Amino acid sequence: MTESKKPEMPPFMKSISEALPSSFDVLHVPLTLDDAHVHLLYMKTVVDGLTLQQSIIKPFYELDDERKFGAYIQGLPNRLDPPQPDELLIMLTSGFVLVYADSTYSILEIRKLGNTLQGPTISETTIHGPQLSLSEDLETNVSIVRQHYHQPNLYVETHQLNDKSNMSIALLYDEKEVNVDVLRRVKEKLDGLDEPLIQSAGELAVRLTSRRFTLFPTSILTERPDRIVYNLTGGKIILLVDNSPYAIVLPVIFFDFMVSMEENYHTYVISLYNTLLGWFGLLNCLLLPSLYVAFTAYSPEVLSSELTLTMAGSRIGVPYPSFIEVIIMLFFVELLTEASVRLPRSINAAATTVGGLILGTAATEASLASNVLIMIIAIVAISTFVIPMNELGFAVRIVRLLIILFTTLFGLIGLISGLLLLIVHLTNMDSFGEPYLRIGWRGKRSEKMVNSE
Amino acid sequence: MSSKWMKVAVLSILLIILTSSISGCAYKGVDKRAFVVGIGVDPAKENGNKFRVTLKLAKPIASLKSSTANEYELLVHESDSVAEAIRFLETREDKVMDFSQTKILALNEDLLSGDLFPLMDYFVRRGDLQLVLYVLMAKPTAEDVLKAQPPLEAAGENSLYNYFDKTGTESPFVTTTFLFEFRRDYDTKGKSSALPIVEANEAGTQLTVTNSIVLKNTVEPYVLTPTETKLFNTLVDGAGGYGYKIENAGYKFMLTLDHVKMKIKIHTNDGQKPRAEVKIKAVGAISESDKLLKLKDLDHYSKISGEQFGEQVKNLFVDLQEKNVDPFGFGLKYRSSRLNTKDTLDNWKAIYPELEFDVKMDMQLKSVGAIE
Repeated sequence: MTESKKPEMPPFMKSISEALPSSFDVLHVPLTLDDAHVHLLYMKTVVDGLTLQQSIIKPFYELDDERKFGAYIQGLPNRLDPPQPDELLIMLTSGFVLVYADSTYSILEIRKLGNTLQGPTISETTIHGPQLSLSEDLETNVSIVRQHYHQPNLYVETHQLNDKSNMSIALLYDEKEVNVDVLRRVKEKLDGLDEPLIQSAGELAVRLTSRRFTLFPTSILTERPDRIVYNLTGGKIILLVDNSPYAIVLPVIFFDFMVSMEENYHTYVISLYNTLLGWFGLLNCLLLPSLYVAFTAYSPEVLSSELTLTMAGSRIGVPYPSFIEVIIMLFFVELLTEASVRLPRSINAAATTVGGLILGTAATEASLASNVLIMIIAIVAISTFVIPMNELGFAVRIVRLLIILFTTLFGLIGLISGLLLLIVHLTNMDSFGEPYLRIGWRGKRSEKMVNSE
Repeated sequence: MSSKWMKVAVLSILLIILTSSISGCAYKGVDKRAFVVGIGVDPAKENGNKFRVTLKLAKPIASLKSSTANEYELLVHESDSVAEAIRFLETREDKVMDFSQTKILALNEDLLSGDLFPLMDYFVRRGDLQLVLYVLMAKPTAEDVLKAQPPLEAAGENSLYNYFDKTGTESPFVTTTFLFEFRRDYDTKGKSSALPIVEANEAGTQLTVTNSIVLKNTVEPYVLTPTETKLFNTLVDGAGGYGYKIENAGYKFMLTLDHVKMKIKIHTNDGQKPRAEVKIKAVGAISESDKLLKLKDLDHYSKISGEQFGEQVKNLFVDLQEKNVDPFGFGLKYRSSRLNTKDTLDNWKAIYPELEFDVKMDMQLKSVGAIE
């Protein structure tokens, strides 16, 4: 044996090795020193080489004895007994090392951590409050939550998706606060998932809802650790997904989408004012284009006569009815918004300015849109971004088209009935058994307090 | 295709057909409407017709900054009834006439005597005319008042509106009467309605609103003098203002009243003459005087101005009583505070000519208007 350059692989390891594809990163490393033989089997690209060197290879040469080394391996905290071969294969692809030492197989987790860097918050920025978002690594994210929430009641359950990605997800909840029914439902949903590939938290959140055609989100996607903790104390369930900087918050009600974390970091009056601004923005964004159609086409008597004449004057020469005007201009703004999301950050400010200012001016100069409408569209475009959670913003952008359609057909009555239908729809919805339009009457103080019953 | 999808498809096609058949009946772009801002009614000039109806249409302004003056169009037609005239006038304009912004109804003086119900009927009945439009009496004719264009009238505004909606001038000389109010007071037994009189000068560049006219179908209209108009507005609307002249005990004051309140109580005890007790509380200051006034004598000034003010009010009451009109609604007060029988109204008709007015003034002057 000592004569051979490469020692023979033990049979179990050999069978595993054969089951693995012959890609360049599958490594079988035999360690040999005098009589001691140890075999390592791992995938180079998912295993942290430095930790492997420090905790396995270096001790082997220092201990200089196969039996002692075997005992050392047995004592490592990240050691597991090898499971069934097919499960073992998945573990190898996610950063485990199969070790054969002292005639026993061990499996050690020496995972190369993913992107553990916490980036700055992007979609939910606040002025005060934490500036860093979640990282893209599951364990780091769990530790971030733990560091924000020092409670023994915080349960973390891990789970592995059954799809091709075999992604790990973590289920976090405060055991004392959580609604057991909702928890059961979420777990059932997770087990029943039947999707070939899930890659991100957003995708998982969509797959967890039972309705296929749904407009309003039934869970919040957040990147803010403080929002996660805020929701944990409120008895919600948090789903963390590996390789995704977003967490899913379940179950949600409509009013959760109108909460900006900024509100917790200001005095009462200021945060109330901010909340009202948010609601005002929501209503603006939802109703203003339809109100324009209603006032210009159906009910000019609602406005004062000066305003009516100004509106009539600004529409002089516009060659099509006001609802077409509104839809065209809204479409432009949607294009602008989408373009500014896609464009690299360095030029998107320029693009929106050019698009917004020049298109607006040119449209009125060419009398393709009225001045009043340009102003309304600008207000609407800005209001969309006042809504704290942009998932709701997306939904509202679509709903307002439906309300415009109703208003075009039936005037102010149509606007009201469209709004009524929207409320009926929201009332009909639920998020994991929780009524969507439930009003949380609990005060902020009692919401934050961890009280056991 | 599954049956579920089939259902959805059929339903959506049905919905599109149905909704498209509903649409279109009320959809009328704001630029395709001609907004009527004022209606004027005069007696017809030609024989055979009854009314001469003037419509004032506002022209939409494309840019407020570049336009210097307001542009209006006046359409005139004579006919036997207001409704017929308006129907004819609608054919003179390519756009739909929109009466929803109409706020002025100008009536010629000659139309105001006699029964006004047939004239008012059309305006009250028509759904798109708002009942909150302002009714006024026009002098010399309604057409002239609608035609008048004061130089200060900026593009996009209507100076007649500014008189009455209290966004502009708030003078105690201006009586504001809405259409619903006019009709209600005209119809109510025991109350008369009052209309402002708007006078246009000959050049059509100025409007004056200083007088009012009191109307009731059974009696002749009574025109209030400017002073009476001012007192009437002060007491009814509680609106104050400048220029209440007081001459008493050797003093000559002009008062500025901020706040006036009136309470009426009618006493009809047996064996006594019927008596209306009117309590007036007025708060104000002296704005002009011919003598040096002392702050410590303020109570004295209050007393003497109260006496004189009460006298003026009493004279107004008596004047109106003589003309058998009742814009303050003493009769309504009587009817509402007595058990209603079939004789209540007749009783009041007997009482009113003999009613004695007992004005109790509570004048509270707060300042002499100058620092010693």
